[in-house]
Amino acid sequence: MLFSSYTFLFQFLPAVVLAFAAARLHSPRAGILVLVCASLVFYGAWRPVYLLLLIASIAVNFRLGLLMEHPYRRRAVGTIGVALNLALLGYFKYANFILDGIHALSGAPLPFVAVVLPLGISFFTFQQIAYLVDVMRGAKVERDIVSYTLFVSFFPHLIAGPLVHHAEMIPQFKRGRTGRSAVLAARGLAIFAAGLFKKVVIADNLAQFVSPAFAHVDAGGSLTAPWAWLATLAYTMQIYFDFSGYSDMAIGLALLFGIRLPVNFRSPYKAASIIEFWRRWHITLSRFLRDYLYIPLGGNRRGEQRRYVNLMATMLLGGLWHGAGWNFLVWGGLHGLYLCVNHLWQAWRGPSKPLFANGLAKALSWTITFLAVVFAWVFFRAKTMAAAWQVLTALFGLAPGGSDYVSPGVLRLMDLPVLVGEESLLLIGAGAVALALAVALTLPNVPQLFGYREYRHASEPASWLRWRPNLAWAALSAAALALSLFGMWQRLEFLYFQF
Amino acid sequence: MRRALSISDSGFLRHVQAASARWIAAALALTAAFWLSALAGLLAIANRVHDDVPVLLALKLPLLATHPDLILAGESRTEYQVDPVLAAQLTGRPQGGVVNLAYDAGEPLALLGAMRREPDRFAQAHVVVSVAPFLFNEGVRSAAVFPQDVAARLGVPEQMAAFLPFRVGTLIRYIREAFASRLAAEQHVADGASRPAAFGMKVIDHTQSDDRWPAEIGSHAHYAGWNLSGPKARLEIGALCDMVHLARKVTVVVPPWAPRYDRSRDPQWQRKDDQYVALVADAGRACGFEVLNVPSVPGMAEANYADEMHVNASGVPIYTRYLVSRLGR
Repeated sequence: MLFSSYTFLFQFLPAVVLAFAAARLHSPRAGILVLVCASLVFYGAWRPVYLLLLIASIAVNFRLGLLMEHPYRRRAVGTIGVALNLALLGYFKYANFILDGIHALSGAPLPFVAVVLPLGISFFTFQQIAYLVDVMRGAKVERDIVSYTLFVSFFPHLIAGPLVHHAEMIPQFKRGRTGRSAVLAARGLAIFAAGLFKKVVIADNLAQFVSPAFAHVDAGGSLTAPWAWLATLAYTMQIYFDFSGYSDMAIGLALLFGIRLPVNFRSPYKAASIIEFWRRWHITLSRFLRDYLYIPLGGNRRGEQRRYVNLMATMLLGGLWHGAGWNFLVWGGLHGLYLCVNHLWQAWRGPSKPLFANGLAKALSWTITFLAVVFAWVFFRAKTMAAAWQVLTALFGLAPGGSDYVSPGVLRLMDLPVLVGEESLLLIGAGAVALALAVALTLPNVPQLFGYREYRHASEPASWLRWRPNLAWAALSAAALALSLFGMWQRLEFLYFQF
Repeated sequence: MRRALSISDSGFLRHVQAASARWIAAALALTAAFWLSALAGLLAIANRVHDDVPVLLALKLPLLATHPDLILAGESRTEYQVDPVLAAQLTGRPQGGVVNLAYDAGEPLALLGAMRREPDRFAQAHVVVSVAPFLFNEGVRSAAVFPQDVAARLGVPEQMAAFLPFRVGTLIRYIREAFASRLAAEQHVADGASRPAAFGMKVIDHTQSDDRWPAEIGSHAHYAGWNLSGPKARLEIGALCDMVHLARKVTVVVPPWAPRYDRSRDPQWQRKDDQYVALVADAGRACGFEVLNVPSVPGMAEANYADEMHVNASGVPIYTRYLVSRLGR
C-alpha cells in the first residue's frame, strides 16, 4: 500500500485515524494498540506471508533483548542477535549477489536463490540491530512488547524510513499525551500535503525524462549528450523529491497520531561540500552508519590514515545497503572518496581559514559538490556498469548516441500524454529540471517551513517563509493535495522501496 | 497567582487546539472544492481533445490496408472468438480479405468514427459488429466498460452528476482515454503503426477457475440497474443506424453466454435480454441493418469457454464456423 494511493488515503488512513481517536478516548494504551494493529495490516497488505517474517523478526529481537538483561550473557546474546539480523538481511538481499561473486571468481555453477526482497527489510533490520547494540552498550532493555513492536513497525516509517532509533520512539509511545493534539495534527496534515506534492507532482513528472533514457542504456543502447544530461539531472532531482517527499509524508502521518519522527532531509542540494551534503541527505542513515559502523571502526580516533580507511569502509557498506550490486558499491565508493578528499582539503587549508570567504568561492564549492553528487547518481540509477559508463561518456559527448528510445516527443503531464515534438520535449525537460532545482535551492526545507521539532530537540530555526494555521496556508495545502490526487493515478512506486 | 496562570494557559491551549481543528476542517473542505474544480476543468479539456476513435481501435486500423471486404468489429467477444484467417478460408476470400477490428468494450460509436474517418475502406465492405448489454444498459457505470464516446457526449455537469462520488474512476478513465485518443490521432497511429498479428484476433489462453464463474447471468454486472432509456442506448443505436449508409452491409451480432447458463431458469435474465435484443432488432428493422441473435452455438460445450462470456482457443473455430455460416456473403 503506497502513501500515494487512493486505497491508503481514502480507506486505510481515515479508518486508522478514526479508530485511533476512538481508542484514545478509552486510554493512551488502546491508541497504541490500534497503531500496532494498523501497522501490521499495512505491512501484510503487500504480501501477507512476509508479515510473518516481520513478526518473527520483532519477536526474536524482543526476546533477545530480554535475555540481555543478564549482564553475563549480554555481549554473547547481543552478538548472536546482530549476526542473526545480518544473516536475515544477507539471505534476502545479498544471497544472489554473493553467489554471483563466487561464481565469477571460481567459475563454479551455483544456484539462483529465488527470493522476493521483503519491503523495508533493510530498515526494520537496521533499527533492531541498533537496539541490540545499544543494549550491549548498557541501554535499558525494553520490556513492553507493544511499544517495541510499534517502534519497529509503525507504518509511517516501516517501508522506507526514516530509520528511527528506539530511544526517540519508545518513550513517545509511553507518554499519555500521544495523539491528543489538533495542533500537531494540523501541522502533520500540512507536512503530508507538501510531501505528497513533492512525490507525485514533482518527482513522478520528472521520471518521464529519466526512465526511458536509462532503460535504453540498460538494454545496451546509447544516448546523445543533451538526453544524457537531461536524464541524469532529472534523476538527481527525482530521487531527492521522491525520497524527501516520502520522508515528509512519513513525518506528517506520524504527527497525525502525535508522534514525532526524525528529520531525514535538510536541503541537501544546498550543500557546498560533500561533508555538508551527508549532514543533509538521508540524515537518519548517516546517523546510523556513523554510530554503528564508523565510530565502532575507530572513527577518527586512530590516526588520519585509519580515518580514511574507516570512511571508505563505511561508505562502501552504505552503498551496499542500498542494493546488492556493483553499481551501488561504486556509488558508495565514490562518496567515500569524495569525503576523503573533502577531509584532506580541510586538513590542508586548516581550521583558521574560512572556506567560503567570498561568494565566488562558495559558488565554486557548491558547483563542484553538486556535480560530484550528480555523477555519482549515474552509478546509482544505471542497472549495469556498462550502462553507467555509457551515460558518463555521453555526458561529455565522448560516445555517439541516438535518441530513438524516447517516445516521439510525447510529454506526460500527470501521465496525460501531449504531443510536443522531441525538441520541445528536451526544452520542457530542461525547464522542469531548472524549476525543480530552483525549488530545492531557494525554498526553505520542510522542517524549516513548518517549524518542525524532532523529539527532545529544539524547533527548527525560523525561515523567511513559515507555515501558519491560517486560511492562506489552508488554501495552499488544499491546492497541493488536490493536484496530487490527480497525479496519483500514475501509480509509480517510491524509489526507496527497493532498498 | 499560579491558579490564575494555569486557567489562562489552559484557555489559550484550548483556543489554539480549536483553531488547529478549524484549520484541518478548512484545508480538507478546500481540498474537496479545489479537486472538484480541477476535475471539472480536466473534463472540459478532455471533452475538447477526445477523439471518437480510441487507441485500441486506432491500433487495429492499419489492417484496413489490405482492403478487406468482411470487417469484424465490436466488443471482446468478436476480438477473442472470431478468427479472420479461418473466416477468409471458409468464405473463399484471400488472406487479409477478413480482418478483426474488435477490442475490449468496443462500442458502435467508435467504429462509426473510424468509418467516417476512412469512408473508402468501409464503403464496399460487409461490417459485422457484436454488441453486449453493457453498451445499452444505463445502469452499468464501471470504468472498465463504460462507452467512452457516450461519456464524451455528456456535458461536464452531466458527467459529474452521473459518476460522482462512487464512479469517479469512470471519469478518470475517460480523461486518460481522451488524451490517449488525441495522441493516437496526432501520431497517425491508424495509418502509420504496424499491423497487428493474426489479422486482429487475440486468443484467451486460460480458463477461469470454477469458483470465479458467476452463479447466474440475470444478476451479472452487465444487467445491473437495468435501464435502456438513457443516452447510451440512444447514442449507440443511433451509431448502428448511421453505419448503414457507410458500408455495403451491416450485421449486428448478439453473441451467446456460456452453455451452463439457462435462460429458461433465470426469468430475470430472460426478461432483460429479450428487451435488449428487441431494442437492437427494432432498430435493425427501422434502419436497415441485419441482426443475428445467437443465443447458443451448436457443438459449443462448456469446455470451450474461458469464462461466462468468452470462448477459449478451442472454441474459436467452432464459433467462427457458426458465425460465418449465418452471415452468408
